[in-house]
This record gives sequence, structure tokens and C-alpha cells, in this order.
Amino acid sequence: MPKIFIDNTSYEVKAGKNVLEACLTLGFDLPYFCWHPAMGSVGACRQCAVKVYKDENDTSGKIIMSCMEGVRDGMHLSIDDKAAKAFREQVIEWLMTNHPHDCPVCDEGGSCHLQDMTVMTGHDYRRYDYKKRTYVNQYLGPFIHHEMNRCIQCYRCVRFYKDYAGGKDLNVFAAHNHVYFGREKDGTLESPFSGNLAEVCPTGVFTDKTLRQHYTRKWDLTSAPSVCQHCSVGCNTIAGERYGGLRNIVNRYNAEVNGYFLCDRGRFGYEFVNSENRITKPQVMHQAVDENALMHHLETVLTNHSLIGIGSPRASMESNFALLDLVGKENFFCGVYNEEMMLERRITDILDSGKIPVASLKQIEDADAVVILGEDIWNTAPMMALAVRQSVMKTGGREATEKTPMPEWHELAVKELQQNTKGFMVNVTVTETSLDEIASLNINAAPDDIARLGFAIANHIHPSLELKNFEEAVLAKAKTIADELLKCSNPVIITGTSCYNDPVLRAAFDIAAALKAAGKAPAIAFVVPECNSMGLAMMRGHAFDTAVRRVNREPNVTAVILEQDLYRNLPAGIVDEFLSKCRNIIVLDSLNNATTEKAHVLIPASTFAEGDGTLISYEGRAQRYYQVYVPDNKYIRESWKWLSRMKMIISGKANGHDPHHDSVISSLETALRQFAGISAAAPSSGFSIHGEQIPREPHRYSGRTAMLANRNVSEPKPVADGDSPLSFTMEGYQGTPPSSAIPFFWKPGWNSPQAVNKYQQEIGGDLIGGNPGVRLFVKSSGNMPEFFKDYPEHFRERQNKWLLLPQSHVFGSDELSVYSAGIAGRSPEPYMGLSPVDAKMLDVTEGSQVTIKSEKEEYSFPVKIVESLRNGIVLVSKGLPGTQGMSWGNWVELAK
Amino acid sequence: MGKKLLIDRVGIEGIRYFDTYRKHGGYASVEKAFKMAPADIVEEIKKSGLRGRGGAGFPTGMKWSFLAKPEGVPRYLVCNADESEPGTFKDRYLMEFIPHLLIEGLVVSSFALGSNRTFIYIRGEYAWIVDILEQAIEEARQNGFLGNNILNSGFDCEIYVQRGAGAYICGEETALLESLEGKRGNPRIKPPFPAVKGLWDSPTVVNNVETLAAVVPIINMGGDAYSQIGIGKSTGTKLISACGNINRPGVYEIDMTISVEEFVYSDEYCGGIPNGKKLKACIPGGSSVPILPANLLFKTAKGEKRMMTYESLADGGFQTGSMMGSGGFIVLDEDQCVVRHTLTLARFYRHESCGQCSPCREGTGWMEKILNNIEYGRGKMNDIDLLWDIQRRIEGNTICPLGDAAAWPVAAAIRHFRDEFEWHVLNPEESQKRNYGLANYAEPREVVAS
Amino acid sequence: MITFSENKLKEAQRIINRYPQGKQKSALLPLLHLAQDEFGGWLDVPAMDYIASLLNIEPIEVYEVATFYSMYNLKPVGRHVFEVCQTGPCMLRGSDQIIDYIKQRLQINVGETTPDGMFTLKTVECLGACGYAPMMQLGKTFREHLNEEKVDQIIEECRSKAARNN
Repeated sequence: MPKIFIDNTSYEVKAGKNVLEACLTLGFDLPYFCWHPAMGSVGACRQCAVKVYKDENDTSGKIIMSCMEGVRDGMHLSIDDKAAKAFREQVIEWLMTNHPHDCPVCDEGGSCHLQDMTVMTGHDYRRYDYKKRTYVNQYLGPFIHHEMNRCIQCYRCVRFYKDYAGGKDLNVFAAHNHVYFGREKDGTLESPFSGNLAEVCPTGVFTDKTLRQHYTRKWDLTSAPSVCQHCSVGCNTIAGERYGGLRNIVNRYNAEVNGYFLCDRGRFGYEFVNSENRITKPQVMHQAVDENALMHHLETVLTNHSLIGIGSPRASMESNFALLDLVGKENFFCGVYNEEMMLERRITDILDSGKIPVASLKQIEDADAVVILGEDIWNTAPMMALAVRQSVMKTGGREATEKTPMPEWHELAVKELQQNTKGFMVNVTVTETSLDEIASLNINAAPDDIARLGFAIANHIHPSLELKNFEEAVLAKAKTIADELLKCSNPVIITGTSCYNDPVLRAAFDIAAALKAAGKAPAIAFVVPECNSMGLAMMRGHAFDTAVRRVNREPNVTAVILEQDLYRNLPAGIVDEFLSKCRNIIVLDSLNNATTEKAHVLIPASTFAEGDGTLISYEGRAQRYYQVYVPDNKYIRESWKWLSRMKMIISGKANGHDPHHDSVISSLETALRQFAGISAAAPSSGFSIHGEQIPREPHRYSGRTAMLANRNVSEPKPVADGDSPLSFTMEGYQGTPPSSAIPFFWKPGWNSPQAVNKYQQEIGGDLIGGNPGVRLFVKSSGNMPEFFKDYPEHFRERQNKWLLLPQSHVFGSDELSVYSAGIAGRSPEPYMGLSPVDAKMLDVTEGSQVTIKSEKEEYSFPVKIVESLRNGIVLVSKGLPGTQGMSWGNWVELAK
Repeated sequence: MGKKLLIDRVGIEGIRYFDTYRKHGGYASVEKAFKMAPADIVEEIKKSGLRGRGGAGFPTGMKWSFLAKPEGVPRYLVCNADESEPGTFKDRYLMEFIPHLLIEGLVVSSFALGSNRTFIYIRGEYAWIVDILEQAIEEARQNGFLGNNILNSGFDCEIYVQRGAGAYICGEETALLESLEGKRGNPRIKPPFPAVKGLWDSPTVVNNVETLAAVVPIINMGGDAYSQIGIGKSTGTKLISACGNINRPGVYEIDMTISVEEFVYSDEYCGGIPNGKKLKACIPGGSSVPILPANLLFKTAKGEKRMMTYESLADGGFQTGSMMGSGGFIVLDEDQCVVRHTLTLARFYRHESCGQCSPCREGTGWMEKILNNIEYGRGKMNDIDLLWDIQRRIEGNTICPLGDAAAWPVAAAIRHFRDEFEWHVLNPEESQKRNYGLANYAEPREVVAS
Repeated sequence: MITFSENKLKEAQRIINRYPQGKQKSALLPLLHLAQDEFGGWLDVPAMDYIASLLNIEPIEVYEVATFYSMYNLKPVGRHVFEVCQTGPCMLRGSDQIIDYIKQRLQINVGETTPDGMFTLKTVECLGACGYAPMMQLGKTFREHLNEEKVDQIIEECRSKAARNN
């Protein structure tokens, strides 16, 4: 480890880092703007200047930009040098010449990096007394507000949007002291990662427009560590509340998962919490009742009836387990479509075997090759797509810098060397996707053919089977891909459930297994549909079909349906049949939907914001989200609390108290062995540091004594949180909390999201105390074949039948996030995709209305001709209005 | 009369065309060079002591020897014809009147460096010169000096002319390469240097027009003979573009053995100051180099005669000296206002800043505003110190040398003409009506920064 | 959609072919010059989009570059654009007076176009004609050693040229 001297004290630092990273890692406060740990250095802002000396005898030294200088053993530096300090102050003065002096009324104020850096450098006197330059702001869509006058031209926005995330509609224009950052004209930012601009921008040029609509200062938010609810990736977030409404979602750094970023669905999809459509009171037979009446009624329907429970892929582990605990293992069913459930079983089998490790997003970013089989991850797991992009770019950069060594952080130089060099990535999907443009190879095929290609690749890497009836072209492609993969050392294979095709999953496993056999270190990622699909699958509940058969067989069933709209995931005919046969239907959910309408007993459940829970992400990572605030509405509580109450009713032990979270989690660990270790995802409720809890409110939180004065002039006693070590107050431990329980990033002098520097072991590295979450798939059950080998037959078109497959959309396909107006506004109109040949055969054109007929349902959509689509497949927008309950993966008829 | 190697033939009728040029010894250096090994040509250039004529004065032979030569990777020679430094118009003269000299130099240099695709990046405003150059290129090709297998040497070379579009910054070599690649002219951070990774990620040499033209006489006469011309490390001849308040503005070739005084007053060169006015100050090497008051122009602070050489012009450092720079020689007579002149330069540099790094982007605009106030009678006394402070912090702290180029003229103006600035502040009304005129600049003064 | 004339398209193709495979973006500046000449002296969005399509790059990359360089006009300009240099060396030889004179003659301010769309007056930074100051650029050529008479002549010349062409 190189030893460097900073102001004459020696420090050991990590080789290969730049001086700025080294200084920040050591805990020094050194100001910066353009450098970003995920995006490297460009040396543009000149803010991070320090003095460097030739040796210990050199007293004059030279000012350098610390972000542009690698650490060298024996290096002598000074941060405190007078000239360096004066220069840093001068840079701020320059940047502030044109920056508005409206911090008190600026929405970035109090969480502004520029503000922090200004204070840090000591600049406090303005010598510039001219008019400031002004710009015209742009309308950038529902998510991001633009305030160009605040710009300090650090170029971070374009570097993130264009270079890091591949966006095409934000750029820098003009030159000299009039450079402009924005779109070519007003319009919605197209990238699904645009929200990160609000955090990447060191000041308030790009801000969260949804927050502006119900604005609250950062320091006035009650916030808690949370986990995104809108796909299976499990990005870590921080959710903030004031006056009983959820105000915003910001990134919560997790080096292994989402790093510094979030997708727009995750960031802006939170407004369902504040929705008018929330279920606010218990109902019995559509009549609002109070708690006593509810409990009384529950007693009658729960006892003397046979109980079954329908588990939910979007409810927490705690709630699903509480349901299982209530109804018994044998009466616990999964509320997912059968085909999907079988796939998820397959996935958990594979992962449980421990044969191939699951790839975290970080591992995907670091992979030197990626193969995607049959999953449009741009739409089903956007942050995973962003990680794949980084793999492609970073691998390309590494290749380019092999001959001309250049540190990874030297962004512009690496880019210059790299030019168009990209890492190897194969994107094999049903139709074209947004990741195609960075792929080395794009192949569009039917699911069975995707699987066949996968098996062929595996066989080329490690011959294990005899391939019969394979076209030469497929074998040639497979060979090309296999040869490339054999040049790599840590490739990642990504697949998922979107093809509704088991062979695709098996093929993905076989590729990974073959790579492993070839001495590589492969990892695999299976994308599943919902935020806790993986957790539900691991519970191994029975298929929904069995539940239908059960109610058909048994007359006296009370079904408890947990947090889901069955009509969304299952064909309406089947759900109707099921519900009509249940004697009693108890539904717990947070929002009204088609299923809640059928409820005999409807119970208001909390969302992630009003309750605690644990979700299991695609990688089997159990992650805890914490209650953000106590809702005024006392009926809103976690499903697991309601369900535990019901259990008490049945067992006759009702005492009017809710169970504690700790006890639910420990029962889960005891009852279901596959979840052993899940309690380590977060500290228990009894956890404290020096006897203090972790405050959800920063010490600057204002208005506490007055904000509830409309109800009571004396300040109410804060509600105690029995379920977590977090308190609903501003008092408590002010130091760094455990990494999984960080309610906000703040350190003295660091009020912006950049404060995360102070929570990391090294800059851009793991959080102090390790990254949040426990990965549950670590053990090997050994119950797996070496290879599956069983490749399917070549896809064949059928007479007058089409294979129905989903087309997912970042905005629109997710059930809850569409309650956010911005996301709803960006959802496309549902459509039906057909190949040009099929369209011609059916004699339909773009926009013609065509009807899909499956067993019991009919759906009608306008046609979209999709060039890349294979004949014999019909593609329908998933999750959009009118597309609920479709029989994905089945053959359907089409009619004009 | 000094030796002329570059523009001696400009007076010949029809020299712009191949036949005449060839008749007068043109392309002889190509014939000679193609019999040499490329490495030997580089050696000759090294021996000649030729220094880059674009402004920085870096030894050309050394620059060439840095060029990386990885297997299977093309190398490029790029001619920097983005002449934009105020006061400089020598390359234009050379290209306009004797274009074949540049083409000849480019063929030899391309051969020496192994560049099969050579570009002339010319400032966009020199639109008609593009036609002249393209015609010369076509003629050279017709006559076998360009194209495939030149003079049966097996060496192929094409020269392309690319127009810029109005950005001074593209004269900086890495910005030029960015612009040539079809991007904004933002300078790159070095390393990597163009000699290793330049145009399209390939090893690249970027040389000024005059530098490449000078390759022709060097090859013709030999590096040793060339190095004998001039004084010390200022070898060979240099084009000086003289402008401002002189009788004979224009482009002159000097052999770096004459004094500054001779250059200003000799009828062979500037021909003195018009209307019998006195000389007030001079910027001897393009707008970015320090302005010198008359008393420091002809004699160094040590009292020695100041010569038109790299070393002598720089004698005394920035305290009492200046630089040869690009050879843009700007003369101010006694009626000129240094504040106003400095203001136009500050405006120029603000306008030409690429906007990438903070000191230059924000500092240049601020300096322009302050100078504007001082010039128009709205200045305050501490504005002068502020101006000094800003330029001092810009200098040396930017990605590319544009920051320095913007800071130096301001620094030198304050250093040598502070009383003129003060007079503007103290006499706002009067400064609008008349100029300060000549001041007593007998002793160079130290300026202590606030 | 706008397109180049056949000749210009050939010219564009010739330029594009100068560069190695995959480096066609390098033709951007020359092609924008071509477009500006072809499409009325300025670049509107369709013109820039057209260039993007010729080079197979994103339109926004073209806007990014076109807005950086001062020679590309992104707003309509008059038939004749007087671009008068105002930097130091020209100032020393009276460019301020020339600019004032043109303003007065054409009754427009810097940056404006005469109501008949005939003239636009712009001030520019150093054009590399310092020895022939004061000067201006008019189209492809420089007009040097300006004085009031010369300015009058140039204005006349432009007007009569326009009259001839109409």
C-alpha cells in the first residue's frame, strides 16, 4: 500500500486511486464538484486543488487537481497550504459569481452540495458586483424541474445522463461562459434514469418535481431506510414524510445493489402511498366498521371455517409468513399465475443448489461479459440494465487501457482511448430492446429458440450433450458467443420469467455451469416480476390452481387474500370461479382494486411507508424496509399485524396487542428453514447505541412543537416504535448507524446526498459495517443436475394460433407506481405487437383493432407492427389497463 | 538584410501554382527526403534546432521523436492552420501566397512520420484559402507528389483540408483533435499526449503551418546549416506578422539576428510609427504574451539590446520580458489606451473560452466586466487589485493554456501600466474624452498583489 | 424533408470518405458548413437533423457541436452578413469607428438585420487579418483596410448584386 504524506502526517492509502479519493477516504474534507465516484474525474471544476511537493525538502510545491493525480508512494501533499486553500476559495467565488443568492428560498437549500462546499472553502465575501447571467429554463417532463440559472457547469448531468446512462436527449450546448445544459427543446426527459440528475447535480439545476409539488426541506423530513417496491432488484431507498404524506424517495447507497442511483419508477413511483384510492377503514360487506366490529366479525368467519391463504409477491416476508402461520403450510397458496410459479420454483431450485452464485448488480457491473437470455431487463429491472451498461463500458475501457495504462478514474482519457470499444454483451430477446444499441450481438427469437441457442452455447463451451436438428446458423452463432465467453473470466448470465419458458431458464443455468466447468467464475441472475416474488417462491406455497380445486371441493372455505389484485395476475375466469366458491373472502390491501371489490371483509394494510417488512430481491437478498411514519389513520397497519391478530383470535389468545416485528421474524426463521439468517438483514428492535435509538429526524428538524398544535397545544409524546431501533423523533444517537438502518445521510458540513462519502469504508466502496441485506442463497443443497441438457424443440408456428408473450414497460407495467401521475402519464397505450408477416396474413395494419381469444377471455388492442418479432408470436403490453390476467406463454387465437 | 527561407519566393508571379513553384526549386526537398530513412529526417529536424512556430516554441524534432509507433496502428500528421491569436496572420500569408511550400513540407513530414492521411485543420474564416490549398493539393497529386506510391517510394499520402468553424480554442492541439473528430473543441487533459493517443486514438503529431513549411529548407540545406542561422537556440528564420500602429504592417521573415528596435524602425520591416507618433507599448508575440512598454521593448531590464529571438524576448521573465509566442507583433502608439486594448483582449478570451473549466470560464468573463467598468469610467481603485487577483489565480490552474493566455495580457498591462488604470479610475470623465498618452515608464515596477 | 442537391450530396460524400471507417462523425463540421451554404446561410433544426442522418449520429450530437462554434448561424441572417472584427489590433486601427459608421449607415445595431433582410451586422473576434485592419468578413472573403468610403462601396456593391439577382 502506498504511503503518502498529507500535511506532514503519513497515511497508508490504496494504490490506483486518485488523491481526492484517497483524501476523502481518510476522512479529510476536500471540496469537489465534477468528480463523482461512479463517473470518475474530468478535472473541469478545479475545486479539489491541493499542493503537491517534489519531496520533503520542497517547500514551494505546486497546485494540482487532486482528482487528476494518482497516489504515489512517498507523495507529499498539503490540503491546508495557504495557496491551495486560497485557490479553492477562489474557485467557489468564480462559481458563485453567477449563482443566485437565494438559498433561503431555493428548493435545494439545506441539501445543496454547492452550499456545503462554499462553507467548506470559507468563501463568504462577494467581490463580483455585476449582473448575473440568466438562462431560460426548460420543461423537462413530470419528474425533473429545470432551473438553469443555478448551474455551475460541472458537466455532471451530461456525464451521467449521456455517458453513464446512455440517454440521448440531454446535452451541453453553446460555449464559453454561456454553456447550457438541457434538451434541444422543451420536452420530457426520455431516459428512465433521469431522476438521478436531482442527486447528481451538485446544486439545484435539476430537482425532483414531485417533491416540489409538496415541498419540504430535507431537514424537515421524517425519513427511514426503505427498499423499492417496484421490481425485483431491491434498490435501497430513503423515503421521507411530513404532515402525514410521503414526500420523496432518494437513493440509499448500497455498493452491491444500486450504488448511487435509482430508476425513475423507483424514485417517482411512491405516490400510491398518498393516493385517494387508499383503503382507509375496515369494511365488512362493503360497510365501514370499527375495530371491535371487525374483530367480532373476523371471529365468526375465521373460526368454524376451513382457512386458506393466498400469499402475495408484493407483500413483505413478514406478512406472507403471518398468513402462512395463520392458515397453516398446507393451506398456503401463491397468488401468482401457475406458469409463473413453476418458473420461480425452477429459479429457487437452481439458486438454492448454490452451484452458481447469484450476481449482484455490482457483480454485473464488474462482469467482463454478459449474456442476456429472453429478458427485456431495461423494462423489467431497469437498474440491472444500467449495471449491464456499465459492464459493457468498463470492460471496453479495461481493454482499451491494457496497452496504454490509464487509471480507471481518469474518465475522459479512458473514453478517448476506448472510443467505440465495448465489452462483450449478447442480448437474446423476443424483440428489440433498449439495450440493443450497446450489445455486441442482438438476436431476436422465440422463447424455445432462445433456449436452444442457450443450450448450444453451453455445449460449445463444455460439450455435454448431442445436439440434434440444430440449424447451422444457430450453431455458428453459438460458437461465436461461446468463443467470446471463453476469453472472459467472470461472465454473468441474465435471464428471467418474462418468456414464460422453463427451457430458457435451464439453458441459462447450463451456460453458467459450462463456464464453471471451463474454469470460469460465472454468476447468474434471474429476474422475477415483483419486489418479493423471490421471497414468495422460496416459501413454496401451493399453486393457485390447487386453491381453485380446493374451493370447488370444499364448501366452507374462508380465503384470506394478501395484498394483491388476483385479477391482475390470473385470468379473470379462474379468479371469478375461485372467489365465487369461497364462503368468506378476507382481503388485506392498501389500495382498492378488482379483488378488494369482491372482499367480504376488507382490511386496510399499510404500504411500505407505514410499516416494517422484509423483501427478498432477485438475488435472494433479504432487505429490511422501515416504517417511515405513523399514519393518523390508526387502522392502517402492516398486514402481518392484522394477520397475527387473527391468529390470536383463532387460538383464543387475543389480548388486543400487536405482536412485535422481532417475534414474527424469529418465528419465520424457526418455521421455514430456508429463511434462516433473515433476521440479520437488520438490527433487532432492541438494538441501541449507548442506550440511544436512531432518530428518523435530523437534529435540525423544525416545527416539532407546533406542527400538531391544531390538535393539541402541548407537544404530543412521540410514538414509540416497538418494531425497530429507529425512533420517531430527532433525539437519539447522532453518529453513524448500522448500515441497514441509515434513515438519512448527514454529517457536519455535508448536507447533500454527497454525505454518503462519510458512511463508506472507502470512497465508492462498501458502507461502514458492510452493505445492507443478507443473501439467503448461500448454502448448497446439492440437489441439482450437472447440466439440464434437455433442450426443447425448435419453435414452430401454429395454424391460427399465436404464442402470447408480454411486453413490459418501465412506466406502466408495475401495479403500484402508476398511481403516480407522472408515471401514469408516461405509460404507453396498450398495444398488440405482431410480426409484419403475421400482420399481413391477418390483413391488419398498424393501429387496426385485433381481438385475442384465450380460453375464457377476450381482449382487444390496436396492432403495432414489430419488425424484430418472430412470426407466430403476439406481444401484448404487460400490466397496462385492459391487459390484466392474460394467459402469458399460452397459445391464443386472434380475430379482426 | 536577413536570410529568407520561406517567403523569399512570394514575389514571383504565379508561385501559387505548381509549375512555377517547381521551376523555382519547389518539391526538391521531397525528392531528397524520399531517399532518406524517415528516422534520418527526424534527426535532421532535431539537428536544425527548429522550434514550434505556433507559439509554445517546443523543439519540433523532439516532438516528432515522441511519436509512438505501435504495430498496425495508423499515425497521423495534423497541420495546425487554426491561426487565431490576435496579432497573428503569418500562416495565412504563407498559405495564401505560397501554398505549395506547406504542401511540400507536409509531404516530407508525413513521410518522416509515416502519416498516410494528413490533415490541415484551418480556421473556418479562411474559407478562400481552403480553395487555394485544395488546388495546390490537386496539382501536387497530378504531378505525383501526393497520392499512391509517391516518387515510386511505395509511400502513399493524402492531404485533406478541414475547416474549423470559429473557435480560437481549436488552435490548442487537443481541442483541435476533438474538433477534427467532429466534436466540441474542448481541450483534453494530458496525458495521454497526442503523440501516443491523438486523432482517433492513434499517435498524432500536430504542428503549426510555419513549422511544417520550415521543414522544406531544413531538408534542402541540412539541419546543421539551418541551425547556423540565428542566435543560440533561436535557429532558422521566423515569420513575424506586424500590425497595429506601424507604417508597414505585414508579414516579415526574420532570421532572428536583428534587434527589436531595428524591426520596429527599419524600413525593411515595420517602418516606424505613423505620423511621427511615439511608441508606447508593444505585444511582441501575439495577444497572449505580456505587453512591454517602450523602455523595456528595446532594452532588457539589464540594459542589453533586446533581440528578436526566443531567448531575448523572454529575458527578464514576465516581470520585465515577454515572449516570441506566435510572432504576432502588435504595436501601440502614444495615442492608444492600454486599458481599452486590454479590454478587447479580455473580451476575446472570454468569447473563446470553451467553457469546460471554472477558472477560465468564469474568470475571463469577470475580468472583461471589470475592465469594461474601468474603461468606461465606472471603475473603483480596488478593481485593479481584484483584476490582478483574478488573473493570478487563473494562471497555471486551467486544463489548457487558454487560461494563461487570458491572464498574461491582463497581468502585464497592470504590471507596466498601473498608473493608466488608476488614471481611468480617478478621472472617469476625462478618460472618456482623451487618452492617458505616454507615461513615465522608466522603471519597471513590482506589483504587490493584495 | 430537406436534402442536399445532387452536387452537394456528392461533395458531402467526398468529405465523409476522407475519414477512416467508423470515424465519419469527423465530417460534422465540414457538412454543417455545406448545409449552411445550401440552406440560406443558417442552420435550422431540420438541416441539423439532416446532417445527423447523413452521418448516422444522434441529432443532439449535432446541436451540441453546432452551438459551440461561432460560425454556425442558428438564427436566420440577412443576405449579406457584415462580420466586423473588434479585437485589439483592429481596435488600434479604428474598428470602433467603422462599426459605428455601419450602424449609422444601415440603421441597425450589432446583431440585428435590416428590415429588408439585406444586411446583418455582427461583431466578431480576431479573424487573422490584423495587418490589414480594420476589416470585416463578408461571405467567403475578407474586406480589409476599411474606411468609410470602402464601407459605402461595399454596401452599394451588395445592393446592386441583390438587384441584379432579383
